[in-house]
Amino acid sequence: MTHQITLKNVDLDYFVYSLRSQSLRSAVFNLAVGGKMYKAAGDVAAVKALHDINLDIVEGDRIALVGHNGSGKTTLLKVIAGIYHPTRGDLKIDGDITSMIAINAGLDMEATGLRNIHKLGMMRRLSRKTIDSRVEAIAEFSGLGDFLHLPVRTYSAGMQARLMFAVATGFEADILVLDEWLSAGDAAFVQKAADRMHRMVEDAKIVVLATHDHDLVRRVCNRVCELQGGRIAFLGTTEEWLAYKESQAA
Amino acid sequence: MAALKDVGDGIRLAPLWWRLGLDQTASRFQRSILGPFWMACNLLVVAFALAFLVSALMGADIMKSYPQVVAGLLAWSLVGTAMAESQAIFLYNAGLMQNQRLPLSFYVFLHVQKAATNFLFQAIAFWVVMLIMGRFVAPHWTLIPAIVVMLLIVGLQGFVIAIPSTRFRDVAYMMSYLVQLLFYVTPVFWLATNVSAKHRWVVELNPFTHQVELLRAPLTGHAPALVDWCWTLGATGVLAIIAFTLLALFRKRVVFWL
Repeated sequence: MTHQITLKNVDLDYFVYSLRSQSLRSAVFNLAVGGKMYKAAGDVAAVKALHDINLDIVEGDRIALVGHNGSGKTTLLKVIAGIYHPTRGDLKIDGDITSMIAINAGLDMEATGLRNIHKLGMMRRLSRKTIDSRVEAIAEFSGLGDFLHLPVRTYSAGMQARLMFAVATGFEADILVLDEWLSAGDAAFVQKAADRMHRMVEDAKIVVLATHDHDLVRRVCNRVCELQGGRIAFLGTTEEWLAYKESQAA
Repeated sequence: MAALKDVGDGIRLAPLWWRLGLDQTASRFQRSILGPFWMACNLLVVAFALAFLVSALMGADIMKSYPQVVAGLLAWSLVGTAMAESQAIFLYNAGLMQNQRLPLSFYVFLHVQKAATNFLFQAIAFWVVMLIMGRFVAPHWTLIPAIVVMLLIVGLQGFVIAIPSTRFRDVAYMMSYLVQLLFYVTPVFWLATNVSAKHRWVVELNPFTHQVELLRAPLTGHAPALVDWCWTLGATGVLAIIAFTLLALFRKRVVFWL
């Protein structure tokens, strides 16, 4: 089976509901005044988070999503992961997606690291047997040692990143969608993570990674998609992107 | 169609919400010694307090209705408590919803699973109380279909309440007071037979009266009346229509409301 992600003319309008609009009173009030006054005051704001995104991600791609804060990286990740439905346009996904977007999503702070490996495996719909057979390798890769027997609430952000990444890549996945949290790991771990992602791609897998870390892009990714104000500003190979960045700086 | 597919996808994920439901229930009681048995304590405390109060203050003959009242309280955990909790179905799982693609119905099934577990523990407590008080009666077989229908209602009601409560947070707060109000106007800890004929219609036209009765009758050893089945199945139909309409209209929006 081939793994592929295709986005065609994808738009995403993000509706922001202010505190006022989440209360029933204003909805009732809206009816009373004909639904104009409050809306005109911009109570429900539609933000065009993604605009006309065309993107083909194929087997073996390790694609980096880069861009300023608020440029739409995480939103695009969530569209690719199937969490947000595009407002317009088509999205086609072939393959089993593993998404790890927020660093602590799915982590149970009260449970130990080991227990969390089991829980995250469970969320991936794996059998107990499969999980048990992988736990040791995941524990070793995380490099957390005895800390795995402590509750996750005692972990630092970097330790959480180690645990999350070890789990994300320790179980089989066709498509891996990761947000910026990976950079929270220390240099040694980022190197280890980069090596592992290289190896994943050899098994015809896809990695989509949002990041600010140019060094990480250079080491891990073969393609780069730069977003600017919800539009694709640049799409090409990593070498092309580095040249583009240099020409911009000059 | 898309709404049906959502529910179908949810059903296919049964092994996941089954395990996750047990896990969430267990982690609610993490670091406690009694663990999930705390769920049973609610019923135990109220039942014994009632037994004491009722027999001490009102004389022993009221004790005749004691099994009815305690069975009513047990039924309420599925009729009322589950309704009050359904406002948080999506809000409670907001982190998961924003991290992984799962159908909306998944979270509703998760809620039903947790409500059923809670009911099971309270039911054990109920039979323990009845044994201690020397009033144990074997349940009527209709308890099983009654529970199945009530779980169906809990699920459909989950959509009907959770979708608006996620969009309008006032609905979420309102639900707990609404359920409290319903608790007093529904014959749970008082009996419909004590109501004067003049005010009887208030009880008869309350759909929750029939839902409580549907569970209470088999718990106290006899079959529920036909009228209770009719009201409850009717409510199921109405809820199903509203639930599927809401699901079809707002399925894709809910995640933005979190």
